[in-house]
Amino acid sequence: MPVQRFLDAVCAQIRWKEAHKSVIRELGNHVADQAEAFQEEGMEEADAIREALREMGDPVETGRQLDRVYRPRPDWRLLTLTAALGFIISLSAVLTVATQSVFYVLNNLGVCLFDATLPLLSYGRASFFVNMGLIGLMLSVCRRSSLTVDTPVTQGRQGQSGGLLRGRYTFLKGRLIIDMTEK
Amino acid sequence: MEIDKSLLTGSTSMLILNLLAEGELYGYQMIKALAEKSNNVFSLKAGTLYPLLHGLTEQGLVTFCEKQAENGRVRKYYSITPKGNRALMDKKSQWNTFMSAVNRVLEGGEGFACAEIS
Repeated sequence: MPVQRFLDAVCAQIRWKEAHKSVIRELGNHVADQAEAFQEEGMEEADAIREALREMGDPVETGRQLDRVYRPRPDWRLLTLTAALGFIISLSAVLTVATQSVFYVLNNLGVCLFDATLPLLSYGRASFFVNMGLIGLMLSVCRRSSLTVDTPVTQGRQGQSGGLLRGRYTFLKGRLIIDMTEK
Repeated sequence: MEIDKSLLTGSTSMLILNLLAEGELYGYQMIKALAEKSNNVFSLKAGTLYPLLHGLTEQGLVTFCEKQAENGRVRKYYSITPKGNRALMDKKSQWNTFMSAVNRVLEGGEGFACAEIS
């Protein structure tokens, strides 16, 4: 059926699947309205549908433009929030090294919280690298020699197993050496 | 009269917002209304209209509600939001500034008076 082919060609360009249903309904209705109008003017049904489709325009270009509207975008508010949270956690990590005190508990607690928020952004285990990067940055500022941090990795979207990642950060001759193992 | 397409890009969303400022419409009605009001100068393709409408919705300039028509079809009726109204005012004033400038250049002074009145 030519109308279905047209709608499929439009949707093939739209990566955000949730938009497909409403796009199909809206554009499908439009073709039907236009074809009906042509039939009222005396056209045969098949001709009316063909003409209505021609008036719709290029399905691939239409789909591309719709895809541009529904392109996934980062949620900046949430990203800023997690970045700020990460900064605070990193700060506590530095204090951990500096004082070896109660901050260690706070830090691990903070890391847990931080990692609990990141899977919401569908980053999966990228959270680990973000975390470690921030901690590494803070450490390098403080010129400490080494730090080991365990990061819990929550269940990822692609079915990654949850677990604990242990990262050891060593500063050697001004270079940061990152070493990580999965427990 | 055939109109150069590049003249229309950018002003299409202003025309759509202007249509919706008068009342809620679904896509098919917008194309018909636009053709009618412009004496068939503007024949907007559905393939251009819907991406535009969805973009305006994402920007919060228009909103929609779905209603079932008597023939069983569920239609998306679009309407303008307060934010859309403000954007429309803004676009209109930009357009008028632009038009008066073009007229001034084209007609060497005569257009200035016309544009000032409108």
